[in-house]
Amino acid sequence: MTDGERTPLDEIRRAIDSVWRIESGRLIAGLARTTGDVGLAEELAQDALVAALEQWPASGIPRNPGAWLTTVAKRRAVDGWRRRERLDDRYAAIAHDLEQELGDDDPARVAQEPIGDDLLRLVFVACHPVLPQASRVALTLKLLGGLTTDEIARAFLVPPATIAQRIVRAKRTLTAAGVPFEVPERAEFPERLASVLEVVYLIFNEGYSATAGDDWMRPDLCREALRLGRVLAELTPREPEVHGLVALMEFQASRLTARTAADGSPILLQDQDRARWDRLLIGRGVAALERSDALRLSRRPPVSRGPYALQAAIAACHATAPTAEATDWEEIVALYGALAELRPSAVVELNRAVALSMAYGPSAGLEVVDRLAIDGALASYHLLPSVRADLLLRLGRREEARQEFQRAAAMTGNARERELLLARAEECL
Amino acid sequence: MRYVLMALAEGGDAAPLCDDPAALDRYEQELVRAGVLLAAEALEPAETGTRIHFDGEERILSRIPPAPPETGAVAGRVEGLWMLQTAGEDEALEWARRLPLTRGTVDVRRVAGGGRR
Repeated sequence: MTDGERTPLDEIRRAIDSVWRIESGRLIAGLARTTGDVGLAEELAQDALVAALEQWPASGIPRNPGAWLTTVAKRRAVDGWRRRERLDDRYAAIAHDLEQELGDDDPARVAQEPIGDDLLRLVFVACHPVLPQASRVALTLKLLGGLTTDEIARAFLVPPATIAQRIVRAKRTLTAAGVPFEVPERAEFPERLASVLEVVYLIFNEGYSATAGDDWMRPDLCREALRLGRVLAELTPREPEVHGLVALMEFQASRLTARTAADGSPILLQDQDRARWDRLLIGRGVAALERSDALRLSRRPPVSRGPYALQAAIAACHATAPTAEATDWEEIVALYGALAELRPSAVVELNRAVALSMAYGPSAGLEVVDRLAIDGALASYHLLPSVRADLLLRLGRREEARQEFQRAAAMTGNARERELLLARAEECL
Repeated sequence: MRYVLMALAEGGDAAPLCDDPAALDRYEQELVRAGVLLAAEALEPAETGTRIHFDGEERILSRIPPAPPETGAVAGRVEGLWMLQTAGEDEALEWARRLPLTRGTVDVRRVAGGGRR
């Protein structure tokens, strides 16, 4: 080891952390199937983790740590039910079943239980519409990402107690609402899957463009979301939109390091050094988008691209263009048009305006932006005056541009972005 | 962070590093399911590759020499590569421990600049 300070005890604790990160999702998912209660499953899994922390420093890490944790957690569950069976006969039956399951005591067998379906059930429960959005996010990171409450709190810049409370309440809500541990049935599936994708993309965006604080981004959350997306793509391999979302995140993540200068200030897409874009992630994005397209075209009848696949296709235009000038802006205009039809929104319209200005000149874009300004839907969105300023500047209307940059600077909550906008206002003089 | 796991052959033993290719497939599936695998490649035998030696302006091409005869010596011949994106070194090490190799050595190396990715 390079780090001479580490003691053997540190070593094993860090190894246990890693085992937890790798195994906890499957562990909780399997326990939730057995117990029918996600909250209880998580507590049992935590108990097993505590047992590992107590025993592994002396015994060493078992050869199959996942199976070890599962067995310990299930034994705890049996103990719990045996205590309660005096109150209710039903517990005796559950405890009996579980003991049978543990009976042969073969860790390999425990490990070979199908876990993919359980994990998918866990995803759907964690992102259940009965929970508020913020709780879905916290629960997903905790149950599926294996993140600790502290890690989640740090990523979202809130006190750990807030996250802890959010998770406790969420588990209670799930129990009180009697949310079953299952994958939603066909009729409900598309809407519920959309809710899952929304949670994953929300996590990604929280990292990609921090809404508060001095950090332009918190890439850890991006990585976490990307990982969740990749896991989800394996769990639901036939869903075009899941691959569409993964493609979108791969493309956006490919620009993570190119988006900021050494001093932390943001660099706009057209000014980024394309050599710093991550080719490996771009390649993965292209592959995921191709997979998404192939899946939707193989449906009978074929379906059109969903909102994530469309955004991924837009990102692909940027990611595969050798230079900013060589970007296929006409294609991007068309893709934004399709997106606006599917999900009409002022933000999409604003993006379409930018693409229009690149494809057909600044006045084509300004026309749309002015309509948006009158419409008022983006009254508090700093990018509206920022885009408008940019178009005005390109049209040589410098004083108007300066005022718009200043307005945008006053509206953004991001300190670095404010500096950038004020600097651009200065340049108009 | 990104890590590359490099499986290196050892001297004195021409046997493949893994006696159970099916286990290796299962392992890679696990990596994919966990969302950590970015790329993986197995390499054709080192004997079929070419070595280029750089000496100033000169480039000298040769066959890759056979592994040294001493058993246990790391031959410096890469047999397979896996690139992972993990939360940190410990997780990369945990995945590396789980590689179903029968023999050989695995170097776990952090990708430069990978800390910001």
